[in-house]
Amino acid sequence: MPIPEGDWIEAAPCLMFCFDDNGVFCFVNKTFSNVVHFDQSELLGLPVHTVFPVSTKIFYNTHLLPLLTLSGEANELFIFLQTKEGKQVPILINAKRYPTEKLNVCSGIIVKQRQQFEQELIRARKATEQALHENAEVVKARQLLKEKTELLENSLQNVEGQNRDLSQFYKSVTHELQEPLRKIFFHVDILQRDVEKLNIHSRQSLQKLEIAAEKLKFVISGLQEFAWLSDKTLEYSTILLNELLSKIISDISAQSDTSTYEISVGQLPSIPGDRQALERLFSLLFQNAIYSSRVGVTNRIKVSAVLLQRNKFNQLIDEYEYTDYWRITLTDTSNGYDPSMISEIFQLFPKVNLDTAIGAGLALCKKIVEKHDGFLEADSQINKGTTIHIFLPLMH
Amino acid sequence: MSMEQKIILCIDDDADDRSLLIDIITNNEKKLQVAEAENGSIGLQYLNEAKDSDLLPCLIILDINMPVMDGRKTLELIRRDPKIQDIPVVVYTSSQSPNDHKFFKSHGVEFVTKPMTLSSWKKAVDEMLYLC
Repeated sequence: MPIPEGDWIEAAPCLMFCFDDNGVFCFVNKTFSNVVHFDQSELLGLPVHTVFPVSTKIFYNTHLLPLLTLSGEANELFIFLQTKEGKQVPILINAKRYPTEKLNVCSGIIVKQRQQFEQELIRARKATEQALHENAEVVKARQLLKEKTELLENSLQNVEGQNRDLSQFYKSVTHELQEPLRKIFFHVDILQRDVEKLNIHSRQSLQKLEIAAEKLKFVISGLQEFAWLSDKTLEYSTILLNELLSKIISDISAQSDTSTYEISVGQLPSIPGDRQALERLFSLLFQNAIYSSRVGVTNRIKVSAVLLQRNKFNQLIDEYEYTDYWRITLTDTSNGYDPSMISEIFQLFPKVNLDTAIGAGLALCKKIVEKHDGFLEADSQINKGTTIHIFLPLMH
Repeated sequence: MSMEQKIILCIDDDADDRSLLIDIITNNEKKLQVAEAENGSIGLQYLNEAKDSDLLPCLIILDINMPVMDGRKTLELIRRDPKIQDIPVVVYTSSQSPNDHKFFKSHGVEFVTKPMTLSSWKKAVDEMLYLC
């Protein structure tokens, strides 16, 4: 509907009102009247306080009037109006004083969304602060990651170098040592054919040479197997441990004096692993236990398993991730080892007890378990027995 | 090739082992001759020259770890040449490496570890000569 000329002020989309220096309305436009729900005629002659709530009344006396009196104008003031029903309406006003006419003219707009905008501003500021904080965390984490990556690169380079050295060492062990050893045996064999032609001292020397060669052969074969295991690529499948151990025990029984030991195996799980390597692991552990049996005492060897959680990080300090491991435990009632030497039993050819030569056996066990991403722990007491815990990850 | 002229080619860098092999083979009742080569490259050179004559061996006894050309490479080159690829090869070595064993078995080659006594050597060589 067209608005008749002259009514623009009445219909403007802003609130307009005038009051004199005594604070009495002398004009309100239609928009104002509609907002406060008072008729225009009703308000004329009434004090402006009629549409002010208490807070605006105070603000009017302490800010609005002094500003108008002193400066002649007041801009962007946020006040509340109060409707006839007592409801508050937030508005933003500009006011100007005409001293000659002793009139104060105000125009305002409703700013219902102000609080919403303020809340959004606060939220935006908080989000910015949070983002800045998180960004700082990200920068810090990235720096840490960079440092760790460099450390990892250095470690990998070292490992690479060590692997090359080891590979050369293994080659030497598997061939360069094997070749002369074979010749020593060969010539000992030739000499043995004419042993009756040798004098007693030469015969003794020949015998000692043979014993030394046998010992060398034992050491080289241990080192060889250690080298092969280090190079071996595991072929994973699901291994039924009870089935595997039954086979191993049956093989061992056929080759040893079964009156000196008893083996009992509990309920064992199926685990992911390389069949050949795991067969070697348990064969070596049984052989080692049987070899250490006390004279005249039945060596009771027991195997059990339990599922538990352990930190998968063994090398890195302050790194924790608990994962599921099968702990397979072998206990025996053998000679045992001096507990102070227990950390050495998994080394190659350790000298732990004067009367016990472990050889490479337990070092091979450690190598097999570590290749399966597991680890070994041991407890032992002389003349009581030894407990070896094998930790193998539940998942490959 | 006449029966009397059968030749065995021994490719081995160890002079002691070669002379021992020659000793055992030439004393065998089969009256075989032995050609020797101290590495794979010299062995292949012999085989190349023998292709056009009547001197191709009936058996190649091959060591693994040798300078210049090792046993693996030598076998690969022998198997690539249609004129010599069907000559039986026996690997005779000090190596007990499972990887070596696997490699030569996969090529259908007998793998014999050099024994520690003279009597075992004789037995091992006698077994090989059945392939001739």
